[in-house]
Amino acid sequence: MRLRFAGLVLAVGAVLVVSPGMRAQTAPPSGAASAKGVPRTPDGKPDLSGIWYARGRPGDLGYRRFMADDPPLQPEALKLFQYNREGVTDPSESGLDERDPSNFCYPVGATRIYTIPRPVEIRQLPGLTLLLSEWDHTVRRIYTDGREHPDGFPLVWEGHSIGKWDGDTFVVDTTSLRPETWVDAIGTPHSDALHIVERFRRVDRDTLEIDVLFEDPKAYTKPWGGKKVFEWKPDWEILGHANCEDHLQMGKPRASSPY
Amino acid sequence: MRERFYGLIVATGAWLALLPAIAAQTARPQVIPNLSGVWDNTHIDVRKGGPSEGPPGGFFGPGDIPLFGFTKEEPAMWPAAAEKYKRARTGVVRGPWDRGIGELDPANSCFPHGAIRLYTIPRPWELRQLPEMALFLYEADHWVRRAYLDGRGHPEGYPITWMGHSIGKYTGDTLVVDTVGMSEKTWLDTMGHPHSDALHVVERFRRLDRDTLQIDLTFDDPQTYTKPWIGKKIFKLAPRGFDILEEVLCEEWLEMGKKR
Repeated sequence: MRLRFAGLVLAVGAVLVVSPGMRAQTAPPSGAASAKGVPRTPDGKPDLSGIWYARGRPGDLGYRRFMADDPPLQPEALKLFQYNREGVTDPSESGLDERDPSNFCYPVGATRIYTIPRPVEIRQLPGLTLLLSEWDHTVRRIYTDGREHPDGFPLVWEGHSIGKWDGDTFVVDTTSLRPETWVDAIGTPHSDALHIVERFRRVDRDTLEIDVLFEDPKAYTKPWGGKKVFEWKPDWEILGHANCEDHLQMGKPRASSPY
Repeated sequence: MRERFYGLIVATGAWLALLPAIAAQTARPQVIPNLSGVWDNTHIDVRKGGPSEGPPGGFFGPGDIPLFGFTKEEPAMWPAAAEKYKRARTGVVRGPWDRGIGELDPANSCFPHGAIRLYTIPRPWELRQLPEMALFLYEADHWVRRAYLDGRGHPEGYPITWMGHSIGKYTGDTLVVDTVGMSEKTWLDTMGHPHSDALHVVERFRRLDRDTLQIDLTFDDPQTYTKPWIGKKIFKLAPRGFDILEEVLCEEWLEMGKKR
């Protein structure tokens, strides 16, 4: 946290220094561009910041899933996967609504947002990268201040994420994920042992690739995953959305006053 | 470590001082005040230690401002709104500064709190200033609000949403944010003040000192209040190591097979 705060203070200085120049040139706010058109942050790293939207259409085979084959599942997880897809023969189709946790207002989790037609915004700050999904206004805080996963961190919907740069690739490591969610739209289950490694690469100005690797010895026979490709949408705004907002009803108290 | 922390603050100050020189060739350089940080009042109570009456931090926050509201003065409401507010206050048990009653509280039925009420619950929130937007990240129900600083106006026909549509600009040491389009299904504050979709809020964010952020708010809602009224909140910078955590409204009620 100390490092993160230090990073923040330094960064604000950097932004202040950069901003008059940006105004003068009316350049995009993400900094100087490299030869391939990929903007870079003041520390020289590729700037992934922007609004991104998955390439393709929901009917494409690769849209709702991370790979064309079904994932390598342990017997229990396989049973659950088959239950989630009971009667579904088209591999490009989603899992069944009536077996879908998000259909019953469960948060969508860390990676399923890559397999639905909703944009994701990335904001790369010093010490912290934010991954903000339009769907249910989810926030993933990816710490880049050098911290590790804390011991005893509770299971949460978005998990605990830390990020490091491997050359021009941003590598994000995530643990502590609640097991009630699907990792994709086709209904792939996971356990609380799930460990996700995501590799983000902005291959050109308009294209972001995310290689996702799932490791979960309780649910999968071996690590698996795939690549998702996103298009830059500089003119888009992230809109407000809350999961299940259509079902909100006064007089159906669901909570007691917590404070 | 503490010395190093202050050193960095001084360094930032030095950048601020240098900025006019750096930007001398560009017209009207803008010095942007650093308002970014995790802002919170609950840690104050933790520091004091011991049990407090009512909510964490007690019923009054810094500046003697009601935790659950924005002012001790009662804004003048039109009769229907006054009646609605009275119902929300009938049966409160912990005194005149208690929250509105649970049965009528939209958040108790899992409705999002809404942009403005989020300042009146005991949860931290984070402000992050980017060149073209200010990002508000609230711990409560992981809400995100974007105030666009790129000069755009409020779009015609923008839908009514939980967070509304926010635009902002810097005026001297102050960030001024203008918000419209907020759903009337929410309370304006935790005391239970109502509002309509016509609500227009102007927030002025100013850092009084390193540890203190003041927000002056003007509420203009001619369908609910007889005239515009003002409120104020003061937040303290959270100590280092005080991270925003994940919170999901109503998650204890999640159940497969049951929609809300």
